[in-house]
Amino acid sequence: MSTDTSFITRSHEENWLPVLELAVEEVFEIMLGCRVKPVAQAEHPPSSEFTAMIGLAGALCGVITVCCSAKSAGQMATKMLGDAAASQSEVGDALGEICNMIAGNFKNKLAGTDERCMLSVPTVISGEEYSLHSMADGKAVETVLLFENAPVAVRLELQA
Amino acid sequence: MTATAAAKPSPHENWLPTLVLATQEVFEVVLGCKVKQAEPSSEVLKGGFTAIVGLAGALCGVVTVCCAAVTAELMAKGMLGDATVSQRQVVDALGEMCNMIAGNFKNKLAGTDERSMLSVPTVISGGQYSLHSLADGQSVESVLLYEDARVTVRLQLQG
Repeated sequence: MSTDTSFITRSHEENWLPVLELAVEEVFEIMLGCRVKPVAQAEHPPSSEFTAMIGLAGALCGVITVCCSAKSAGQMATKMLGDAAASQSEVGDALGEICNMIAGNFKNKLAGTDERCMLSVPTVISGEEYSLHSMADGKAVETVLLFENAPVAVRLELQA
Repeated sequence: MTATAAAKPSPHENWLPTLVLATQEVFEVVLGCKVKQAEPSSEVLKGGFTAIVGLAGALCGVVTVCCAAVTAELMAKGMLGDATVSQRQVVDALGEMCNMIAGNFKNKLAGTDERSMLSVPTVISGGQYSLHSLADGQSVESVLLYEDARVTVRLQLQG
């Protein structure tokens, strides 16, 4: 069995949630200066006014999304860029960059995967009425955390 | 599909002809119709369906296919050969079209194919949303007519 095949087999069995949670916590601490911990999704249903997404390609193929309210996205932008972060575009850039860093940090934690798994470019969707459908048909894990007392959902969906 | 253009990733490359050819071939093979480029228009589609596939590696960016809900439904019917289709089938059909366009485009880039990979398609649907890519490089776009309706195919690359 080749290395790639054994990795793909492993990816179907792996529990990715703790790795994803750690990657998220580290990015929020480093980039936004705050400690976040997972909370129960049922008690804190996340808003999806803003969704940042980034594709994973190669040995691990799928998508990572970060969903939050417009207010939370704005707060992240202010913490990253200062009070000048006022435009919708800057808010989108900030959330996209957070998503990019979470995906990069997650990927770097997977020993042996880093060089065989690559990231695409983040895309940010905003609006009041839309839904997102990933065609990834494999495992999906999600963590919800509180940022400034508002829920932010981070989701990993993998191709089988 | 025939391999034609021989392109290498370059920030100065004109990707549009390759993207248009890749799109036309997919429409012809999958939906059995020849699509032509539409005249430029200032009309902006609000809402509807957008399929996205990420490119990673030597060529890094996103390919998106955007159309009205009724157009996405026509594509699904054309692909499945059914008179009626579910919302899930419409989503899957548009995602698959986007995946094939991105794959065909990638295959036309000699020497890039093995160094560029695709992520999984994602499809956005709704009445009111906007899309913002963080790709800061070249962006090319083609609008094609499928059953007299506009379908926008866009390639946005990282600089």
